[in-house]
Amino acid sequence: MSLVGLVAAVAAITVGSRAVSVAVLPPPRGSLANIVDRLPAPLFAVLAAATLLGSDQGSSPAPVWLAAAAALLTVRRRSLLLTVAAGLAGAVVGRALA
Amino acid sequence: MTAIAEQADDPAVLAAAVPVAAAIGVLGVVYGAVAEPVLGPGLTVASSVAAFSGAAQFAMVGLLASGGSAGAVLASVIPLALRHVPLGAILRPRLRSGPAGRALVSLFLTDETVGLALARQPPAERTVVLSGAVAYAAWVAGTVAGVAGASLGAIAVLAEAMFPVLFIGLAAVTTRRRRDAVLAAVAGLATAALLLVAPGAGVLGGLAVAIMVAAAGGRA
Repeated sequence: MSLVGLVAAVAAITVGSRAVSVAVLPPPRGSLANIVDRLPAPLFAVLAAATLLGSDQGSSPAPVWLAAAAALLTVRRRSLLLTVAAGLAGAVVGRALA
Repeated sequence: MTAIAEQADDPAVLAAAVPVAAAIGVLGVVYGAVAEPVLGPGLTVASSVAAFSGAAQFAMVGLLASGGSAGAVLASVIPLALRHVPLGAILRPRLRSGPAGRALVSLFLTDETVGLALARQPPAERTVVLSGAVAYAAWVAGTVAGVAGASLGAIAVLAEAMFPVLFIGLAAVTTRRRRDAVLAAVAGLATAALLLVAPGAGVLGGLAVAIMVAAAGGRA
C-alpha cells in the first residue's frame, strides 16, 4: 500500500467511525442508557490519568504533575475555565521551579 | 440542522474552546515536525486535513518511522477509532438534528469537543461544531507550522499540561452528583494503576475501565 493510500485509509477509518457513532447508531436505551448516563465523569477522569501516565515517553514531567495538582484543587467549584487557569498557572510555576 | 442554527451563546463556546484549540495547535506543530520526514510535507498536511486525529496520526507516523507495515498501522488505528463509539453514545441523546446534521457534527467528534458540549445545556450541535472547527483550524495550522520548522520553545510544557488539566476540568463539570465524583475517582485511580502495571494498555484500556466503573456504579 502506498503512503497516500495508507493516509487515506487512516482518514477513512477515523472519519467513518465518527460518522457511524453519531449519525448511524441509535441513541442508547434501557440499561445501556443508564451506563452511558454515568459514563462522562469516569471517562474524563480516565483520559486525565491516561494523558498523565500513558505517553510514549513514560510519565509526564514535573510541571505537568504540578498543573494537574493545581487543577484538582479547583474541582469542587466545577468551573472549566477556573480549572484550566489553575492548571496552567501550576505548569508555569512548575516550569519556573524546574 | 435547526439545532445547529438556533443556539446563540457562541462567544461563550468560543471562550471555552480557544485554550483547548491553542493546546491542539501546539500538538499540531509537534506532529508536523515529527511527520514531515516520514510522510513528506504535502502528505503530512493532507493527513491532518483529512483525519483530524492526533492519536491516529501519531500512531501512524510512529509505526512508519520504526519500520512498521501498513497492516500494523491499520491494526493500531482501528482500536483507536473504537473510542468514538462511547463518545457518540454520550453525545447522541443531546443531539436534535437529523442524520445529515449529525453527520456534520461527527466530523468534529473528539474527546475535547464532547466534553465542552457536556459542560453546556443541550442541544450539543452548535458547541461541537464551533469548538471543533476552531480546534480543526488550529490542528491544521499547527501541522503546517511544524512542517515549516516552527519551534515550540517554552510553551511546549504548557501544551503538554493542557490535556490532563482539561480532562480534570471536564470530569468536574460532568459530575452532577456525589456518585459521579466517586465513580470518576475510582476510574482515574484504576486507570493509573492499570497503566503503571501495563503501560501498553493505553487509552483503550482506560476506556474499558471507565465503562466497567460506569456499569458497576449502577449497582452501588
